[in-house]
Amino acid sequence: MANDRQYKFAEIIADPVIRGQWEKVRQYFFLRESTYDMSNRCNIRCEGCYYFNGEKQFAEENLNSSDWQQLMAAEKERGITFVVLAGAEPSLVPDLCQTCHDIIPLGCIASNGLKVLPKEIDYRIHISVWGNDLTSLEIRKAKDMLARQMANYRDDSRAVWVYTFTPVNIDQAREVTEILAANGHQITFNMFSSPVGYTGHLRHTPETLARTRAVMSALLAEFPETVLFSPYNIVAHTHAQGLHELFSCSYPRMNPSTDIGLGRSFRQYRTDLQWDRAAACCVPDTDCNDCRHYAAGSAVVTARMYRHASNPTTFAAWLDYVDTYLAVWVRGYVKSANLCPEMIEPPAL
Amino acid sequence: MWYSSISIEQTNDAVIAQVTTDPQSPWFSGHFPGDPILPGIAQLQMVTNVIAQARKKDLRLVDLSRIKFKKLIRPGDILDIHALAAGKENTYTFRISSKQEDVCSGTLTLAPTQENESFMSTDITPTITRIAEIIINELKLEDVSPQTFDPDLDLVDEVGVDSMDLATIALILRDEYGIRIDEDDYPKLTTVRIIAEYITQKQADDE
Repeated sequence: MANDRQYKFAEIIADPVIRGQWEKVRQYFFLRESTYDMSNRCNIRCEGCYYFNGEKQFAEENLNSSDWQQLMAAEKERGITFVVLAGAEPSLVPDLCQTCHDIIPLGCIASNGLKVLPKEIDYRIHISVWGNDLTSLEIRKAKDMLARQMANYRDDSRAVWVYTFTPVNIDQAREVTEILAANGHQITFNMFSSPVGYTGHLRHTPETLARTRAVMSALLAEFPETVLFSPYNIVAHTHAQGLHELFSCSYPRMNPSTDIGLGRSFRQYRTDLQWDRAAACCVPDTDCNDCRHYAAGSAVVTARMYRHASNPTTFAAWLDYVDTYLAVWVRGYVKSANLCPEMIEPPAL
Repeated sequence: MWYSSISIEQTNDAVIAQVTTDPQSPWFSGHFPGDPILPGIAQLQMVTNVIAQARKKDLRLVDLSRIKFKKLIRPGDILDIHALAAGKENTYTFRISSKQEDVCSGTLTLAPTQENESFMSTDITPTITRIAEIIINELKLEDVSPQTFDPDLDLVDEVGVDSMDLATIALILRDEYGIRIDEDDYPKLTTVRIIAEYITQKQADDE
C-alpha cells in the first residue's frame, strides 16, 4: 500500500474493520498501571534476573497486610487501575496478592509458575519460560520447569507463558510452543534485555535479533491460536534499535515530564513500599539502550498512537500491538486476528 | 462557516431562512469520523446567526429552553429555519426542518454582544467551543456543554484527561485544523484555551 499521502484520522478509521478494532481497544484506555515488588525472596535464582540486580533487592520486606491495604487504597485514590505484581516471586506471598486484588481488581502477576496462586486472585498470571527444560535447568537451576508450570496451571485461563528469547534459546522456542499448544495454553514473547552493566552471553546481537525475528514469525504463522503476538510486535521487539530509541520511553526513568501519562502516574514500588522516581520503570535496572522488554513495549508502543495514525497500514499495525498487549495483560480480553500481516518499519517521531 | 445562506426574510415578529450545510466543514470530519452529523451546538449557533443577520444586530445566545433534536443533519442538507418572536425581547421560538420533517425546535434567548465580556461570551472563540465539544464527546462528560465548559480548567487535574485521551483529541484536531501536534507538546496542552492558542500558533507557523 502506498503510504505517501496524508490521511486524516477520520479516513483511517472509516474502514469498518479498523474502526471496529479501534473501538474495541479504546475501551481500555482507562488503564493506568503501577508495579510492585511483593517480596525479596524467590524459590529459584535465574541468570540475568531483573530483580536481583541493582539496589531494589536490598529493600526491606514489608509483609504487613494492613500496610499493603493502605498502599492499594492510596493507589486507587490517585487513579491507578491496573497493578503489576512482580519481584521477586509473588506466589510466595499469596495473601498480599489477594489484598491487592481485593482493592484493585485488574492486574497481572509475574511468576515462575512453580507455586500455584489461589484461584481467587483473578489476575492475569505471566509464567516465565526461558527455553526448554534443559536450558531452564542450566540458567534457572530448576528441574522440569515447563512440566511443573503446566501442571500447576492446567485449564487455568489466567495463565499465559512468557517466553524470553536469549541468544542461547532461540531455537528452543518451537519446542516450548508446541508443548504449550498441545496442552491448550497460550504464549507470548519477551526479549532478554540486559541489566545495566551486564556484558554476559545473554545480551542480544544483531545476528540473534534477526534469528529471533525469523523464529517468532514462523511460530506466529504456525500457531495463531497459541501465540499472542503480531507482526508489529515482532518488529518492535527485534529491531536493531531498542524500544527507547524507537519510541522514546515514557516511563519516569527516561521521561522527566510529570504532567500527563506514565510520567505522571507510574510508580515502581519496592518491597519496603517506597518508590524512587529516578529508577521508576517496568523493568528497573535494565540498560535502557538494550531494552526490548515486553512489559516496556506494552506501555511505550501503545502510548505512541498519534505517530502511528499516519495511514491505515501503520495504524492497523499499532492496533494489532495494542490488541496483543490487552490480550496478554487483561483477564477476559480476547485477542482478534491481526489486521496487518506486514512487518512495517516503526514511524519516526 | 459550516453553512451558507440560500435566503433570509424577516417580518416584524419572524425570521424565515433557508440554508445548506457545507460538506467540507470541520464539524463533519470530527463529529463523527465516518458518520458525519451536525452537532446540536452548531445548529443552535446557526439559528442565532441567522436571526442576528436578519435583525442586523450582533447577538449572542444566552439561554435555551425546550430544545428537541428530532432528526440528524447530514452534509449538504438543505434546512428551513423559522424563528418567531416569543413576546420577550430577543426571545424566539424556532424550528429547523428539512424536507418538511422537523429537525430541531426550541426557544432561544439572545442578547446584544457587549465589549469586554467575561470568558462566557466574547472570550470564547469558535475554536475554544469546538475543542470543548471534542473533549466532552471523547470523555463522555455529562452535565456540561461546550458553552459552559471553563476553558481554563486543568484538563488533567480537573477534567481527568489522560495521555491516550489527549492523543485521540490531538488526532481530531489534526483533522479539523490541519496541524501536526508534536507528541512532546502534549504536556504543554493543559487547558482548552492553551490548546486553542497552540492551534492558532501552529496555523500561523504553517502560513
